[in-house]
Amino acid sequence: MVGLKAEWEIAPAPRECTLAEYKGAEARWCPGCGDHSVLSAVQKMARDKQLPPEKIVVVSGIGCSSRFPHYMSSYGFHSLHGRPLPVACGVKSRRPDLHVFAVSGDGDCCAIGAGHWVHAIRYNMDITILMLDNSIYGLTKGQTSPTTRLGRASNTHPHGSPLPPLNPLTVTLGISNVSFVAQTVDWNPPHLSATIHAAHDHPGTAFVRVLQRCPHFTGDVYADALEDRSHVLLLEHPDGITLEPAMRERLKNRIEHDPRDLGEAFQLAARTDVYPVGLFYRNPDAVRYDLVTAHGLGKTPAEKLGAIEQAIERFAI
Amino acid sequence: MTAERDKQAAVERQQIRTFHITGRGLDEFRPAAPLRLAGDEFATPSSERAYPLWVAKGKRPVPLWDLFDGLEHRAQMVAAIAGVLEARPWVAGAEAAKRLLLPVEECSEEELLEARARMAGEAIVAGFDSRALPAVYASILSASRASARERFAERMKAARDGLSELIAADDAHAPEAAGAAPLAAALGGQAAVYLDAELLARTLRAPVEGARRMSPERRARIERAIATLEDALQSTAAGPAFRLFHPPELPANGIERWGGWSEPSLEPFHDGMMFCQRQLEWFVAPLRALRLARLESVSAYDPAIHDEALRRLDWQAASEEELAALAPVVIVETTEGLAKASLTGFSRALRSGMPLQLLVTRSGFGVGELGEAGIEPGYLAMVHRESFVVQGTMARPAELSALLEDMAASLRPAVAVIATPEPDADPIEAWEELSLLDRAHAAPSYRYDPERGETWAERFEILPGPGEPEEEPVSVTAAHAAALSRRMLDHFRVLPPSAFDGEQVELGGYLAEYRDRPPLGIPFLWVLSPDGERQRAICTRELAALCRDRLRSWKAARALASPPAAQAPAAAPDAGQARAEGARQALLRLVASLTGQEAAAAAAAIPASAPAPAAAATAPAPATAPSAGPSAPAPSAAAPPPAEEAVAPYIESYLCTSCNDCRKINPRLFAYDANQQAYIADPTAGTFAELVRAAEGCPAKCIHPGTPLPGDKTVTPDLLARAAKYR
Ligand SMILES: Cc1ncc(C[n+]2csc(CCOP(=O)(O)OP(=O)(O)O)c2C)c(N)n1
Ligand code: SF4
Ligand code: SF4
Ligand SMILES: [Mg+2]
Repeated sequence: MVGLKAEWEIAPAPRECTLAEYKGAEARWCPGCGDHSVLSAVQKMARDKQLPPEKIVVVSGIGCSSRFPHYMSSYGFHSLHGRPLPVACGVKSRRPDLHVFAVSGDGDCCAIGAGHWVHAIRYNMDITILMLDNSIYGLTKGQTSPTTRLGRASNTHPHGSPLPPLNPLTVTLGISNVSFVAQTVDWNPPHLSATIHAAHDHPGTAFVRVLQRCPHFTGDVYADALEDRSHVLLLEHPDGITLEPAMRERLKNRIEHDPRDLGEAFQLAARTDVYPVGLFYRNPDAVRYDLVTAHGLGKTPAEKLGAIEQAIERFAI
Repeated sequence: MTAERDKQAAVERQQIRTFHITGRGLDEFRPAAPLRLAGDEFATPSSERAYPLWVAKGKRPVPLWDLFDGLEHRAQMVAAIAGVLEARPWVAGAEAAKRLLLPVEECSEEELLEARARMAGEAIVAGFDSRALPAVYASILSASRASARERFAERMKAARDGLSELIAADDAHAPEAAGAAPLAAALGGQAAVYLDAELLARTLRAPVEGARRMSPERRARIERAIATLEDALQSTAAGPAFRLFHPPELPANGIERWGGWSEPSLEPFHDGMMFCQRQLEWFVAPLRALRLARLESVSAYDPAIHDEALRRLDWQAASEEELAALAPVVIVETTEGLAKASLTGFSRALRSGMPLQLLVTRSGFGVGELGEAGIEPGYLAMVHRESFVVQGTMARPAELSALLEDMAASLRPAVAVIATPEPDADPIEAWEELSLLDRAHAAPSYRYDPERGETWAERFEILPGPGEPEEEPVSVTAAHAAALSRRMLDHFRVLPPSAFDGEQVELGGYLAEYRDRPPLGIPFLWVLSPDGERQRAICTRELAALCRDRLRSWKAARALASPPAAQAPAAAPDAGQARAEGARQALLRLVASLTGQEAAAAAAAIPASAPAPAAAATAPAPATAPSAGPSAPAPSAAAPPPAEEAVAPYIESYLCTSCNDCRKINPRLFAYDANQQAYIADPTAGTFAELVRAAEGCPAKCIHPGTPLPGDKTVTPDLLARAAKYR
């Protein structure tokens, strides 16, 4: 009779991944570097969602921030300068079952990798992009990056950057088929965590710009916001990124913004008087290229060859 | 003359009595053909609305009559197809549809085509014939189990593939895998032209040689499981969806169309049971392999635990889902065949819990030889408590299909006892006889389903038949059905009005009186002579006893199915008093906690008899406190707040960015919690200066140094001023 014999003695114990299971090598970023905070937030998100470490892939380019995969105990790909996004898209296109994260820096993403950035956003594959913006080339010891502020001196521009900085948010919002754009700061872990959770939940490419402190080269860049929280403008909406009431109370400067409103998202993203944080835009219905590339994945090599031959046959005369 | 007549009458009366007791004599009054019962209540609706049945794959059987709903000439069409069935229990649907092509008179072309269209698809047309039953059940069963079989096969495939991947991964770790030849092969013929496999092999060798291989035992274990699953997949794909063991007189040919195999047998019960046993033993191997695959897939297989646990595993550990995937074993038997085969075996099968399916046909009266209590396979099965049992009749085809569907879904030993016409009876006569038997509740339809509850009333449900449950005296009895049966004519003698006599009583009244012993009197039924004259058909005592037996069985069944009379609620203790006591206890606890005294002391202060609501409202705790004395002051009153409050250092951990800076200053003072966020682990493990330095360096500004501990040598006015910023 059914159910007479218990089976639990041979059932594998339910798996419970602890935070330690997501930790890789000891992080070698400078003390106080904002990258620590992002790493810890990603690890905690994976733990909270119990993502199996072997189902996570972190792809990065080159830079301080791009050392990220080494510090995760998951699959990783420390790729070429500026190229994390094509690699991440490639992984996702063949292995749709994996959780793919791409970690990039302001130099990596917005300078040498800008071409890939545009197309990855448009492809809208289900990946999470974390762009850690310290507005400097950190790893190579302080050169002007696309996001370096006007007038700020660096190795490459000792008399100050002559150009106004690129705004990664407005650029991303302007790309066709964009589906998720958010901004957060490394020094507010609750908001950082909530943003990374929401980005990973999003079905499509989630672009998250993290304002990241680099105490070594640009320690003063976000000092105003650290000293006075009113420099941070919290975007709020029931469909946006929500904070616990206690944390929300601390950020007095708040504004209601519907993440479906692309026009308003542009206006907010362009503001330079404050650091807007939260969800600018989300469109869960945007077309996803990974759903197209995953087509026929289960086919055997013989079946694929057969299909190719069949296609070629059509041109036979 | 009168004396002569009296004498004659006395002789007749004596002969009637003899016939009633022995069933012999009065041969000139023996009916030659089934009797015509007098009374409108015995007019049975014609069978054409119930039979033939349209049995299509994956659908519940419906009468052809309903299938042709809305067609103008459906009566003629049903009759045309019924004609095909005269010599056969059932025909294939396509063949029956072909018959419709021969134009049924008055039918338009469109109507015929419409009827044909409704008959499309894989189906059979079953007549009112016990030999059609196996095919009808086969169709129901195949629809019920198909998806479970598919899901199970998918599971086996997934397990096999998962295990094969483990083996492939192990192979890839073998040093040979990085050899030039396998690499060249993996690259494909043309690639070798452009790539130097030898060179590639040399480059790859280093990491490959460092890879860990599977232990030989694990590999062997996994390979065995793959072979088992492969084998099980093949044999389930090649095997039948179900097996039907049946006696030669109940053929099951044609069930292949439902994916089943027919297993004719002289001892279907014995053979079916043995087969089921072997099949369950076989089933253990794939069950083990599946469990092994699940453990291996998460590398949780521990031979010390699991070797033994898997060895112990038997079919009873299968889940419902798994058991449903096993090709069911159906045994078709007649009631007589079952009784002959062995009731011990029947009982053993039911106790074993094996998912056997028994389809028992019971034709005519199905109560064995008259004069002995017939066996009731349904009741016998119910006595085994955990089996699924249904009883039904072919006289109610829609309900029968529903019962058989329930049975097909059951994974318990299941028994269906189905009243069917005699194998070679005239269909019209048999239909009337079976309908009347049903109306007499001689074999009530019921379902006994152990899943439905614990009590008989919950598990056992009688399906109300046609007609109201009758009060005695009953007007329809099993004898009325017997009067329509050619086999039972010996039990009747038809008397003309001249032989009527005060000693004769109508059967209903006779039965009402028949409690322990037969009453004095000759029971009869009213029948009509060919020219419509009312006559009395007297019957044997045996038949009357059978009627009583059926009536009693019906009453017993109804009693089983009805819930026991609701019991009067036990006399409740005085509710008001209980409430008052509860309130008093609550009050005691409250007073004790407010005043710090023992509950017992407070108890002394609150009279047990106090009306509780009043005490709660008017006697606040402090009022009773003085009686406990000043020795127990409230603790809060004892500690006046100091003028300069000492504040312990703390970290708003949820703001910590995990930058590790503070921990670098003093890892005993600062530690990470489970979320990898800092907290003060031991405030005495460091100095105030360290606290202030960490607070200043903390990028999240979440460290608060508090006030220095007494005796801290690092404290200076300057340090205190710096610390004040983080208060
Ligand atoms: C093709 C190429 N060009 C240049 C470099 C040198 N390089 C290494 S890291 C880097 C900039 C990194 O800046 P960013 O992406 O902002 O990362 P951060 O170090 O600031 O986190 C550059 C230019 C390189 N490694 N490869
Ligand atoms: S240089 Fe800047 S970005 Fe790089 S690790 Fe140091 S603090 Fe971080
Ligand atoms: S210094 Fe601050 S942010 Fe860094 S680990 Fe310590 S408490 Fe956390
Ligand atoms: Mg940078």
